[in-house]
Amino acid sequence: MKKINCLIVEDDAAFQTVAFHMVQKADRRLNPVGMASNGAEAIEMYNRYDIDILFLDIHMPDMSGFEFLDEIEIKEDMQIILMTGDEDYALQAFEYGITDYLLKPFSAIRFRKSVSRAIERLKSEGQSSSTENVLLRKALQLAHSRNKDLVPVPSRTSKLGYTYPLLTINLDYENEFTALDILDSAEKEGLLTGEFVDYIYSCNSCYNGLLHFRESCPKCQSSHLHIEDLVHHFPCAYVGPVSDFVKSESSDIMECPKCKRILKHIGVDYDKPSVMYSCQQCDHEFQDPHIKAKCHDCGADTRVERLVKRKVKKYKLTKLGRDAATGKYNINLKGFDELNDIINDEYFIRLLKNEIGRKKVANFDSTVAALQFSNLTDLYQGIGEKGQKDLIIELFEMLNRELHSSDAVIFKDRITTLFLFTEKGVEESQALLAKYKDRLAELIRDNFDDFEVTFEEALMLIEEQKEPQFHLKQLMSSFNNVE
Amino acid sequence: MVDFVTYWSMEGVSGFFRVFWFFILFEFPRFIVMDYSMLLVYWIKGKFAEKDYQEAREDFLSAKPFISVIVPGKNEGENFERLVESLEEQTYRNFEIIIVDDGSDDHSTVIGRHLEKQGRIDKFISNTVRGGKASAANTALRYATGEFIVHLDADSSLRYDAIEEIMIPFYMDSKIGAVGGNLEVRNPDVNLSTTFQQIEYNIFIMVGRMVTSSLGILRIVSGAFGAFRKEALDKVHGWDIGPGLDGDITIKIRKLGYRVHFEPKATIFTTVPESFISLAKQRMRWSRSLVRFRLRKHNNLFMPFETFDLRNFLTVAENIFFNFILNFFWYIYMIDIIVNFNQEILYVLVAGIMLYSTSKFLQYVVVLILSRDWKRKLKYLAYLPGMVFYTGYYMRFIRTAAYLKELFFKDSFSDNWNPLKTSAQAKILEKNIERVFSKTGS
Repeated sequence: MKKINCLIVEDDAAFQTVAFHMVQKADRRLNPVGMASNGAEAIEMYNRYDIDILFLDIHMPDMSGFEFLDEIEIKEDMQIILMTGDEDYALQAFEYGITDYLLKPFSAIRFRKSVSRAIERLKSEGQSSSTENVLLRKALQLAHSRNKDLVPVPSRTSKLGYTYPLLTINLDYENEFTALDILDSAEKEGLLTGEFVDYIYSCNSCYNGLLHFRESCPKCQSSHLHIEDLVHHFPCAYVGPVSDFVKSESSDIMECPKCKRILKHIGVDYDKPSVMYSCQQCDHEFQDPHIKAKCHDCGADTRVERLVKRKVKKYKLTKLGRDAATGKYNINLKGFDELNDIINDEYFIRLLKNEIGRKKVANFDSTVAALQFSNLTDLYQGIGEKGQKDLIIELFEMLNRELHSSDAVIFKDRITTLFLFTEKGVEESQALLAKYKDRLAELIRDNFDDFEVTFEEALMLIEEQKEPQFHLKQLMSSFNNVE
Repeated sequence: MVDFVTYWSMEGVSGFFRVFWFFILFEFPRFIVMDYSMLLVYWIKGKFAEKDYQEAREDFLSAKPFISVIVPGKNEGENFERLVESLEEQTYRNFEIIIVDDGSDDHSTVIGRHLEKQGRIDKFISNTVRGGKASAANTALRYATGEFIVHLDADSSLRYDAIEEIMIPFYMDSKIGAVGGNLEVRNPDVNLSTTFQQIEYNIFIMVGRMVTSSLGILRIVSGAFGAFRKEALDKVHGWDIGPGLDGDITIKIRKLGYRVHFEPKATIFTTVPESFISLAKQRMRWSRSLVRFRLRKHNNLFMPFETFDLRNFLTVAENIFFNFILNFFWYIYMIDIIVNFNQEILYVLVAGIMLYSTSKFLQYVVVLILSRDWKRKLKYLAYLPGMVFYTGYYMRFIRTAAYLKELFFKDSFSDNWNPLKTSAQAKILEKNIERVFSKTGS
């Protein structure tokens, strides 16, 4: 059974001892790791241990309990039980999100109840302690208790252009976009049902939804463009921009520069078959301008094709959602950071450790390899955070489809992949690696306008007398960007 | 067979002349004598001109002029890749590629935009509303920045040195305003139709145009592959409504005093129609333009005005005489044969085939002598007797039909090759010109 670490912060020595005993008696799992009699001591201890429940006195000689809370970094799922002789602080305590408020003197029964509630909450938050889960639960509670749906409200002050008041209120401006992610996965988990309301395009590096759109030159990216209709004069087949036909700025009369006749009527003796753009910056003439969106929040100027397109929906709580709101069901949204399972060299080290173990008892060759995309960062600059994630996921999924079932692949970071080829020698592994390189290059080419990715690679046989870490270091040291 | 020999030995030379007067009077001098004279001149000239040619080549390569390659067309998307590939492999590289898509209703726009995005073509201009080939070419011309313009058809691909070769004549003679390239058939071995066209292109385009070019009466710079000085095109304000706009612009350039040259070494491979029916349609269009442009629009070339130029006169006169007048005259010849040689018609027919086969053979020998890839072309010798029927009857009938239709019905104005709106306007224009001319005449 997991121990629950407790810290008692109390300047009254007598009460400190009483509290210590009460803690010990209250629950077998509680493990009082320390007692502090002033703020400084408390901070020191708090930082040394991983505290689950904090018993805190408000009055201390060097600082108040609230000042102490301001001082420390509060662990997300930590429970705080305030012990004080003064009830004036109840409101302030609530703002700090404390679990319980014990007014001195209190009975052992009251204390035990308070502790068991803290343990209960510790348990439930232990399962759903991530910010997203907490935020969603709050939003579900708010929606359920007020019998409201989660409705997107257009707003020019919100980062996305839409806000979900019950949810977005708890997110700071920079992170407002997570609201969509949270609601998305809540719908997938069956907590909500969504109904389409709108699409939004947002900046691919900061998710700002209020963008400034305009056409730009495909050559020099300038948005200083001149746009003109082309005119085709039927009788003499002359084609040129309207300005070729304009006689003087003051009159509307159009005269053909080729046959000198006055144009009569559109559709009768001339038409406008298309439009030409000319860049005032570099003189390039073209018909297919890039449409770019400038983000006034982060300064990114992105091709619209690379913006993040998201659905905005109106959500209703399901039965399960109501259960979650009333605490009958524990929210645990899955797959929140999609990259956690992909960029995970710890997992790879575990696999490698197993493989080394296997090699100790049997005689075969296995190989580890690392592949670095040496110029992928050039591409990353243009596609933003969302684009990077999507690309890595796609590369990872493709590799996994290609991979032999006994082999493994993982990303070490955003530009390095690690491969484990079990029971394969250097040559065989090299051949496989070459094949994967081709496929990776092809996938990137197809998705990003023929971007040619370049690779560096390192490959070595597994040595059973060496640690997994040794292999990784060895592989990485062959790339020139590693010190 | 014995009868045949006896018949002709009895008839003798005078009889032979009597029967084949049409050939001896018109075709033999025009094709056989001219071809061989030209060959002789070309050979002698080549001896002396080699140095000039090399100097011109060096001048051209050191001047390194910027060229605009323009490709107007409709629904040609599937050909872009091959064309662009052949342009990428050129020995001369200082050019831009402008493709104008004239209101395609297939995937041409997508393909063109993609190539533009890849940077393989410099400008892809898509006119969403179709305007006809002339307007598409003029659109390209409006946005071309080169000193020279090379006009190409999209369904062709260039020999690796084609651009270089077509440019050199400009540096041999500064009066040259346009240079026509040589057309080879890209699909000669698909069927009989394309094989005949291959032989026809070699005889009539390669050798034929070398002849007229060396006489200074070349009448056409083909749209499939022609190079122009930009200033010359600007002076004539580009192309007018077709069909036959390439012949038309050549005449216009000639009228401005420029020389027009044919360069056999500048070779392009073009796809020709693969059925006799689509071939007939194509040739109807080509033939009509003779009436429309030579006889109607440029009729002032025949008038002894002060602007009269003997070469320009001969250019058009040669064309009209051999293609138009002789075409009708031939029927008189046929009547002569049928009426006067009714009994011996079989002997005459067989002898005719033999005579014309020999004639074709002599013409084809010139082709082989002048071809760099003569070995490949040897096998087509076997098809020469067939050519007698192909050019002698098939092509003649098509031409006749086209001329009659155009003469009496002004058919080309309702040709769906041009959009209705432009044809209607061209017709009005033509009427107005006629009115003005009849007024000044009276």
